[in-house]
Amino acid sequence: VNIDFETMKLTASGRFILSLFISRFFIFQNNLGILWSEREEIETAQAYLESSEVLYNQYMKEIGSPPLDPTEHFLPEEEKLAEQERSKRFEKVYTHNLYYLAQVYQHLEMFEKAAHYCHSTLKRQLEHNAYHPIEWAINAATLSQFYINKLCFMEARHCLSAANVIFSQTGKMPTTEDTTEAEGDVPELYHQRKGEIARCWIKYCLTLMQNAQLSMQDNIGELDLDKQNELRALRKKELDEEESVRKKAVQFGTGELCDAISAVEEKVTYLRPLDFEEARELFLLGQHYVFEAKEFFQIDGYVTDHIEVVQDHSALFKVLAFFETDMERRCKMHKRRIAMLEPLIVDLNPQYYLLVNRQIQFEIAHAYYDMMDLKVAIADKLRDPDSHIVKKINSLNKSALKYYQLFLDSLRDPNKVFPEHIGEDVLRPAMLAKFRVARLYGKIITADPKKELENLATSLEHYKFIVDYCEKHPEAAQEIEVELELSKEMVSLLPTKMERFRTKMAQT
Amino acid sequence: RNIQVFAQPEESTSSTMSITEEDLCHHMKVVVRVRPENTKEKASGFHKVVHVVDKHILVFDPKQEEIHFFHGKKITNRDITKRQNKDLKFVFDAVFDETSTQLEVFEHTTKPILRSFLNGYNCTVLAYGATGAGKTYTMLGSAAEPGVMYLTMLHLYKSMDEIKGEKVCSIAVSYLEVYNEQIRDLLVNSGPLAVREDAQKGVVVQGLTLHQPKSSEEILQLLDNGNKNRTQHPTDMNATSSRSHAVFQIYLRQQDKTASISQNVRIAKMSLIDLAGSERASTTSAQGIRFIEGTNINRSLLALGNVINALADTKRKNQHIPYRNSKLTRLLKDSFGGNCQTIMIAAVSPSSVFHDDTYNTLKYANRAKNIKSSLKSNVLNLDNHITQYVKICNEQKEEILKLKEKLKAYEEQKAFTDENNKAKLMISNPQEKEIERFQEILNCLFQNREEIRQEYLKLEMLLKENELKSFYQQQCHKQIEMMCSEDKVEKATCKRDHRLAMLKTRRCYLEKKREEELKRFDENTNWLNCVETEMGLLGQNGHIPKELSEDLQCHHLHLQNKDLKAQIKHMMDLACLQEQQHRQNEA
Repeated sequence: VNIDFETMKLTASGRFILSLFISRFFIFQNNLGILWSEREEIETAQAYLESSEVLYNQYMKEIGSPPLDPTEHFLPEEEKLAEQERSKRFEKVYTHNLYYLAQVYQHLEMFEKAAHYCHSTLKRQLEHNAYHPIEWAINAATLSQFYINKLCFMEARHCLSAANVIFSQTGKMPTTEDTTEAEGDVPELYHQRKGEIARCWIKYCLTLMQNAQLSMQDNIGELDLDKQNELRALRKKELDEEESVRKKAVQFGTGELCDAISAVEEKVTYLRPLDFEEARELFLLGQHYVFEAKEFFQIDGYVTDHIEVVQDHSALFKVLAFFETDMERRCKMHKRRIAMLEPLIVDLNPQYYLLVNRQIQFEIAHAYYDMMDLKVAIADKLRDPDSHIVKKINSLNKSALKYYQLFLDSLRDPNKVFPEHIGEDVLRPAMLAKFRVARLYGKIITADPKKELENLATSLEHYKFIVDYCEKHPEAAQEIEVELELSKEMVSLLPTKMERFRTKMAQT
Repeated sequence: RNIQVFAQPEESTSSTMSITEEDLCHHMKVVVRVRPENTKEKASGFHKVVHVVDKHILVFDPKQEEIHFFHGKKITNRDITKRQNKDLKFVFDAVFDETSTQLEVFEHTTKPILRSFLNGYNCTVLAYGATGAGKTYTMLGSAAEPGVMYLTMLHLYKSMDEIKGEKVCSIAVSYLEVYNEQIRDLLVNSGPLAVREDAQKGVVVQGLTLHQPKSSEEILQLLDNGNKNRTQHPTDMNATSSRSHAVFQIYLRQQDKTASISQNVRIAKMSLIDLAGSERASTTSAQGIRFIEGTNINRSLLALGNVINALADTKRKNQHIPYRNSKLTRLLKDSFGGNCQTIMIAAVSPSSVFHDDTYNTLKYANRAKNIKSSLKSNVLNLDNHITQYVKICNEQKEEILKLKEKLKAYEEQKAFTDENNKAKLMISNPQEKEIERFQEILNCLFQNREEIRQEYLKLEMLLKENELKSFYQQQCHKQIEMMCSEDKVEKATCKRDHRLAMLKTRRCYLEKKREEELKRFDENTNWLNCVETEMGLLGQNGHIPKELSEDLQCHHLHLQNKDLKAQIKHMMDLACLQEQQHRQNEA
């Protein structure tokens, strides 16, 4: 329906007519939208809802004052609503319109648009003071997770900051008439929600740091100075554009609330950290929220959640290590990771927590591996590496081996037999573990030629396993193309190396 | 899935969605059961919207022109809800048509996973579908036709009976309900129970009672009692429909009968779950709530959370999605986090009355089927390590390159020496070869000889030790004789004799071994002599060629060296022993 606002608004009667039916028409269109969506004809619903939105915008632009509420037609003059109440009702309908649109877009997989409308709905809830603080805060925090994935860190920060501010209102605000029954068990839920928001913050810090790492690393995962300088140059431009970006985004709240949100925002950067100092800031914030989240998500009672938080903590350390240039200190960071992960799997029953168990085993093994690499690099720089560092390297090697082995052992069936056929879900990890084990054996430092030969033989055995397995199960080959290629070469080369080693041994 | 117009108070769909889509493990199997039309549906002339093609395929909303032709009445009926035939084909692990029996469903769903269960894996069977689609019938059944829960127990008892010989088995069951985000024990009267995760025991419902039914009658009784306790909300659709999730859990504990130090205990848990109806409330009689929508913005927007959750849910590792209706999800967390087997039984009605519900259920089941592949990457968070792989691979490539270079150099060198050798060969090929052969023989012989010598020396040492020990025993005994009372002496004598006897047998054994070693040594010497004469024949005037004699001497010296080293070590050991003894005597 096209409404000719231009002609209608000119006459008083035209305004009256418009006011009479606009509200009904608005609701009518909304309902049509809902109806069509229920019939799985989302596009039709979308059309109705969108035209409804256009109508609202046009009306507000042209007329401004709220129309009569549909119920008013049946009321005597003196009972007619006050302007304010009328406006409230009309606005509510519009809020619903936005909310329905959010859902429609989500079903149509237009996620950005859906997020925008969710965001607007949240904003309107604030404006009309129609929200439950905990619920609202959780919604905003969750929305931030969508923005994080889209790498819209400014929006994510805004949502999270608003979540913090609104969440802190809990208890201060008089409960509105229909929120009382919603939350039965307030204290527990309150703490749980607090923990959840903290976890959303952790993800924010982590992703921002990881994103920075991704844009600054070279192909082997080390800091690329050229890229770093490039980003530094870009930083100025980013700062210049800040205002205009901010203006474009939907901002929550006005006045005091807005100030409170900005106060939280100012303490956190939304820009990718470019050096250790900046990364450290984010790390510390993330760590702060790790501790907050752990307050509620304790190992006793919330095993999986607790472990996820610890894993994030470990990930924070890991990405911080990327920014650290001093290798000894980097080593210490990995050591911290191991120190927090190792105790977790001690009491974990692998029957119930097999997946997390495996994840942690892999992560610990990897951390040991990283540490070993660092120690090797440190030893390389020393003029004459002493036996102490060699011992250290070997012990790290051994620990890494141990955890890969634990992971591989977890694949065994109840009768401790290694499966003939590895499930596709663990195939790649299993093959990688084998590959790593093979490498680790090849890297053990020993002066004893017999031992060295033994290690080489074990290494070869594991490479062979990979090659043989892929021969027997061709579908596995595509999962580990690169590693398989390397393994094949090793299988062909190692025996000659060993042979030479043997002859050398016999000669001496 | 439709737009949520208002919050559903007993929000059921989203909680089931959240388990099945996020946490389900990789072994998910999906079957569909189509229930027969009931009398009401038949009578009012609704048509069928599900056509079962075979054991794996069904068609939803098939085209049906002919039917229209023969049953003109239906056309008028259809006009009201006129829409295009969807004519969609679905493939599942199994499809059961209207005529299938409870036993058939059991045979193809739970029975196959019972083996895993007996092997110690956790298993889960979920029944999903709209109210009135036959979930509860499938899971619980009636007295005359007991459902999967009962048949499972029955079969379990039978299997336990079969392995009675090797294993001690015990079984315990619990039955609970999740209703309106509260957990209640169905087997006793209880208030809401708390659920928590324990590092050792997995998910624990605090205060939930476990029962050990002895017979199948008892199980039936238990299930029956439990069902009476369920929160029932009859709607006009189905008198026994419910908006609560019912969770029946079986714990099986097995222990090897053979006594061993490591008590091999296996505990597994099987969860049989009758989920709440998945239908939208709008199609049931709950229509009234809809009018709240316009005036009560708070209530209606509660569902906003679900929309936002769904937005953020893109299976990414790097985000945290706070859960909403979490009790059931939490309850089943450990069932999905381990090596578990999961089966989903989607129940649908064939009648056009349930067109939407059936369609939604089938779509959902179809998605659940695909979980297998999409979850693969979630199992281990390996994506983050990608860069590391590049590094490792680069290193590896370098190593390979180095090895190749070395190999090449080696081969070149070998080729070079080979050529040299060839040149030499022209002159003294046979002799060279012979010398090499003898060198190898000598290597072998001396290795053998060394071993024998070492063994021999060790035995000598042990004999010496033995001798010393006997001597010490005697000495010690003398001291006791001098100092102690008679009965004590007698006791000591006894002890001494016993020890001496032991030492003696040991000595005999050692002596025998020594003889053997001596013999072997002699044999070796003989061999060596033979070889020496042979080598003599090779050289001129009966002299052994120079290279070989040098080799021989080297071996001899090497052997002597080893001998001396061993002797030193043995002397040290004996000295230690002596010293110890002296110290004891002094003390």
